[in-house]
Formats: sequence, structure tokens, C-alpha cells
Amino acid sequence: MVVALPIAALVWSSTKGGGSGFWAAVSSPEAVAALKLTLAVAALAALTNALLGTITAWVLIRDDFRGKPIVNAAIDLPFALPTIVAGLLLLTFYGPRSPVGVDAAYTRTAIWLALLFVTLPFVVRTVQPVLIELDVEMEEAARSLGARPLVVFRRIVLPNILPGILSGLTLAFARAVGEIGSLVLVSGNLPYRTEVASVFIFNQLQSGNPHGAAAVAVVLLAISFAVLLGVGGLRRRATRHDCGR
Amino acid sequence: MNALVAAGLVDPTWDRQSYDGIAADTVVVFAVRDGNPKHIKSWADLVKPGVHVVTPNPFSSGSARWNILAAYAAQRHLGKTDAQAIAYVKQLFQHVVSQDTSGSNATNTFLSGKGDVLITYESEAINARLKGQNIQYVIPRQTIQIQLPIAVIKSSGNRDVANQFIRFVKSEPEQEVFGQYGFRPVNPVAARKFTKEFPARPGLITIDDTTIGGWRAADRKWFDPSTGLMVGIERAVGGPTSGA
Repeated sequence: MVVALPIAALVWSSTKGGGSGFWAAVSSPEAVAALKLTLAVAALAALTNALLGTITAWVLIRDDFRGKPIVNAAIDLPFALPTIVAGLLLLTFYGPRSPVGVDAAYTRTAIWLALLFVTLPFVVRTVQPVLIELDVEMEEAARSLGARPLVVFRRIVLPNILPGILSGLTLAFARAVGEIGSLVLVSGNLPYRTEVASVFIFNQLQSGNPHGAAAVAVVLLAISFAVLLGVGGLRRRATRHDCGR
Repeated sequence: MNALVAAGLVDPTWDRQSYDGIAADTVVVFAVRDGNPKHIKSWADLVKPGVHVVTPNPFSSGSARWNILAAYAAQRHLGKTDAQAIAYVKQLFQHVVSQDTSGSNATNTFLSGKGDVLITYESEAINARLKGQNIQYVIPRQTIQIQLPIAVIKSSGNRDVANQFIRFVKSEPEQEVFGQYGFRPVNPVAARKFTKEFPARPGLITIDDTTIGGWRAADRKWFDPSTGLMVGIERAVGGPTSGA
């Protein structure tokens, strides 16, 4: 109810302009550019974090170092921060007055960096429980049989943590696609260059075109849903071999 | 305000009240870096090579619309034809490096270090200064008068009180407060007290100028989400055909 009804209302709103109105709103070059940019950068950020998040989770579970509890808690910071604050943080760090001399603000790189920040916790938190449950004996057995560490990782560890990685990837992608708070501050919102779908939809609403905005939102929803279904299918295939034992 | 009148929320005679229904004015100005290193004074300076401009997105910000109309009308008043003035606006947008969703977001972007010049309201620049931000601004010789309207909502249950409030806002003491916060008073008595803070600009363009023709015409010509001139300009500047 909480999810289906508002989505139904959105779909209904998008049809108010008729079939031609829907198509016009969705096929306008600016809408297409915004959608392409959102999907591409969200996918890139999700994939990057699939790698970085897995490494982070590995270090947190398998290694011991001073300050580990603090680092572990800090992973959840992007969850706790309002996204506008995250945007401000990124602008200060990566913007024109950057303390580390990196001026990437108002570029596509800035969008990627912002999305990396807000989606990091997803992969880390989905891979950690799987890593904890993983039986270290399997890896030790493999190594005692002469397998090199890379082979152990590829044949033993990876297949077991893959469902966790894919779950995290899905969540990260979904979150990245809908992000607006941090991007509104750091991306510069230049149409066709750094304007993401969420900002485009906001602009359409502001200029008195709610049905066009709803149309683009519906397309974004549909594509995201398809991706989620696809990755979900991949996850089921990855866990299928468990049943065969 | 026209949108509210069309929706039946505001009486169409709202602008026949005193001061044409306006509470205060301001003008479009250029906010520049300390010392104005790129010597930006006129609209022509904005399109010089290497000048980066910050202005909000016209499809989400009213402030951006005033900026664009000011740029266009300034060119017309300098003797350019309609086509030449539109070409200027397109050239201007080739220099835009950030199009925030609102005027205040654009101000923040500029203050964070992006861009050489921010096209904004005089009141916005003064307001930032009052908050301790180091901001300098230049009033171009041709600029537009931004009018801030005030009207009662028809369905209000407190119409008498609302009308009283509007009269209060236009009264001399209140208008002086407006002046202190960076808005140009409409009340002439109050306005006389701020001639130093608010330099006059002879030939100040208004929204009803013959080159603009009022908000309805401007919205139709420039800002319609599918057929407005800005749609074409944004596409040309940033789109797949731009080569940028």
C-alpha cells in the first residue's frame, strides 16, 4: 500500500497529457540526456562501490587494526547524513576551494564521487554478514591442498560472497538513480552535460509541467525496476549451486 | 502571479492596487570577485573569452528568467534586432558553467568559488553581504527592474487582515525596513532615504517594455517547456549538436 498507491498515482499523473504528451515529455533531447547520464553514472558508481565495498568489508572482517570499531561505525555515516549535508561536504572537499587541490565540482566526475559517497554503506553492509558466516576452514583446506591465494579467492570465497555483492550492487544502483540532495549542490545542473534525471524532473515541476515530470519519472522507475529484476535473477543463479549439494 | 490568477487564486485586479500591486523592487546586477579582476561592467564583458558565468536554470528559477530577459532587453536597447539579441543570449549561455535550481543556490555556487561573475538580484547580493559574505557587485548600465508583487489569496478566510498587512507593507516605515535589507522601496518617501545605496539607472527596463511585452508574452516566447526559446538555446549550447 505504502509503495504501490503513490506509484499508481504517479503513473496516472503521467497519462494526463495523453499518449502523445507522454511521448513528447519522455523523448525530448534534454530528458533523454538526463536519463542516460543518470543510468550511466549510477551504474558506474554502483560497480565501483561493489569493488571498493567488498574490499572494505573484507578488511573489516578479516583484519584487525586500531580504531576498527570507529571505522566500522563511520561506514554508516552516509546513511545518517542528510544528503544536502553530504553535498556540502563534497563541495568543500572537491570544489574550487578544495584543501587537497582537487577541483572536480560541477563536472560528471563530481556526480560519480557524490554517488560513491552515498552508496558505499550498501555493499559493505550486505557483504559483511556473508563474510562473517563464511567457513574459514574451506579456504584453509584449499590452501593446504596447494591452491594459491588468488585461486582460493576466485573458486571458494567469491562464489559465496557473490550474492551479497549483487544485493549491495542492486541497492547501491537504486539509491544512486534517485539521488538528488547531494547532486543539486555539486553537479552544476548543466542541461545535457551534468543534469541528472532527478534534477530534470524537479525543474519540469518548477516550470509548471507536472505531467511531463511524472512521465519521465515513470520511465526512470520502469528502467530501474527492470535492472533490479535482472540483477535479482543473476543473484538467484549465483545461489543456485548451493542447492545442488 | 499570472499563474495564480489563471488558477483562480488571486483576483485579476491585483495590480490595480497602490504601486501596481508591488511591494518592493530590485534590479539585476553582476556579482564579481574581489577587486573585479576581469573588469566586468557590461553585458558585453560577460561574453568575452574566458569569462565564466553563473546563473540559475530558467526552468526551475524565477530569478533566472529575470536574468535572461534583462540580457535580451539590454541588447535590444543597445540597438540590436530581435534575432541579434537572441543570439547574444545563446552566446551568454555558452559561458555559463553552472545552472543551479534557484537563485540562492546559484549565489552559494558563486561564493564557493565557481565562476567569474554571477547574474543575480541586487537584493540577493546585499543580503549576502549583510550575512558577512564578501561579495562585490556591479549594476550594468542597462538592467531590468525586478518587481516583487504582493496579493491576497481569494479563498483566504482572513482577507481583511491580509489586506491590512499589504497596506502595512507599503507604508513608509515598513518600506524603510525593506530598504535596510537591500530592497528598493516603492514608497517614494522611503525611497528618497536610500538614493546612495540604490543608484539610479536611467532608462531602467521594466517587464512591460515593448521589447518584452509583459510576463505572459515572455513566458510564451522564452520559457514554454517545449516551445520556448530557452529550450532551443539550452539544446544548442549543451546538446548533442553543440560539440561542447
